[in-house]
Amino acid sequence: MSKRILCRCEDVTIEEFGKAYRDGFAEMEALKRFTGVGTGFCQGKGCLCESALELARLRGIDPAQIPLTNIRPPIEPLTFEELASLDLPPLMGEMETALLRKDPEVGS
Amino acid sequence: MIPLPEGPVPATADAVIVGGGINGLAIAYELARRGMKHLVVLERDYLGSGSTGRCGGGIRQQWTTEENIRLAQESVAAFERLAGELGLQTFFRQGGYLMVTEDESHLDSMRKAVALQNSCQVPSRFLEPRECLEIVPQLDISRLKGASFCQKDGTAYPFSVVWGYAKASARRGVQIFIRTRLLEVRHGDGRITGVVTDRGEIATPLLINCAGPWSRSLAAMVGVQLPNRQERHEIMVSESCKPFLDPMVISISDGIYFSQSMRGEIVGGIGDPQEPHWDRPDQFDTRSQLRFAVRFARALTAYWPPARQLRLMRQWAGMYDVTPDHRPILGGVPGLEGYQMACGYSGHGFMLAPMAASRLAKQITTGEPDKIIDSLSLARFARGDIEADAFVVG
Repeated sequence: MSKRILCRCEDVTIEEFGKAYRDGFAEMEALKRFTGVGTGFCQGKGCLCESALELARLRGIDPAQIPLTNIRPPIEPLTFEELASLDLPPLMGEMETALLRKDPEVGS
Repeated sequence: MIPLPEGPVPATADAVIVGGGINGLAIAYELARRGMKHLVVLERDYLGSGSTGRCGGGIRQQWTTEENIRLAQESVAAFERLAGELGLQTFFRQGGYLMVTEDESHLDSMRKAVALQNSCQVPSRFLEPRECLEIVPQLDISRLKGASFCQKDGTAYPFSVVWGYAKASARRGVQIFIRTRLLEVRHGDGRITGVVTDRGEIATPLLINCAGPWSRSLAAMVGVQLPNRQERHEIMVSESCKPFLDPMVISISDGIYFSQSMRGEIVGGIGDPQEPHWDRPDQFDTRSQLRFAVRFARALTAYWPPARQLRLMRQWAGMYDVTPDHRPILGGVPGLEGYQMACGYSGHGFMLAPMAASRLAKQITTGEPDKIIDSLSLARFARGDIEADAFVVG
């Protein structure tokens, strides 16, 4: 039978994701780190929502109730050469923008 | 294996362990293995979410104080058998640790550290800069003055180790509550009597503080003042490439470390001396900074030029729980029965936890004093018996 792929970068199938869930990795934070979904080259852009939908289906709950994992920088991978050539920014101040608002309930 | 939080916490427990990172879970496992029943672990978020899951996974025995060497040496032996014992692949790989320095002034302490490590049967050795090329052929050694290397050091995947301890603990009846908040500790007449959580109260005679960066504020709830400060440290992974890098490379000059995971990613970080020291959880900030990415990229490409074309894929941050002498705080405090702690690991909790947990669990269950726990007790700061470990990196 052909495979049903959930995460293309890390080659995770829907079956593997379901098996991990049944093995006790019951929420996205653990599923991400156990199966690798969302940790590949696209950093979850192609699979994070699909994975959350699949987890909602497995748990029989509304997808809106599935907390997603954090999206981390950079948005696109950058070479170390590009990064090394940038000017050194100062340490980040506290809560500079609404987008980066520090939320102790969410962390980052 | 890792149950979702459902329903209330039990009304009573023989011990409540606060913190679902490697320390809390390893202690729960070690206590259960020694026959203790009715153990509860409380984790505010998900397992490993505090410091363990954010760390670089390095495990080294190259330290400058005997306690750290002994704990690390015993922990390496534990990591060697842990996958089988816990029943989960831990991705432990002994590619060695290559510790380099660009400072002439470090060479003396580095040679002394190697001698002390060797006297403890840790097989480290001092290397001249050109000898480093036998270990990492593309390393830029032009600024190096010396290095030490131990083949038996290595790395493991922190989440696997945490899950392994959780799984093995749960098999022995330990109840693990994730996404559960500790609100209050009940204590009086010099003893612990219980805890209040957002899932109900637990009456317990024993509270074990394994709360990492939150350990200081938890200790304060029972009137124990810890000298710990908390610092943000950042880390990243690159895209995956074929395995080429055997050891963890670490510089005691600029604080960079990098290794290759078994998935092929370069995992690494670098300390930033400008980071503030915090002592309250509302100050903690684990957002990522471009500043880190730039500093890390500069240091990485300087030590290992082929990294120039490799891409940084993801970065994140975690908290170090740092003591004045960079050694952990283990055991209890006089005058407060039923309070124990394993905290203040100063960035090295993952590698030291297995044996610190084993020794602490043994002391708790048998009452036999432990020389290492005693020398790492909170009382050492009042005694002035403080010997700082010189090789703190990251």
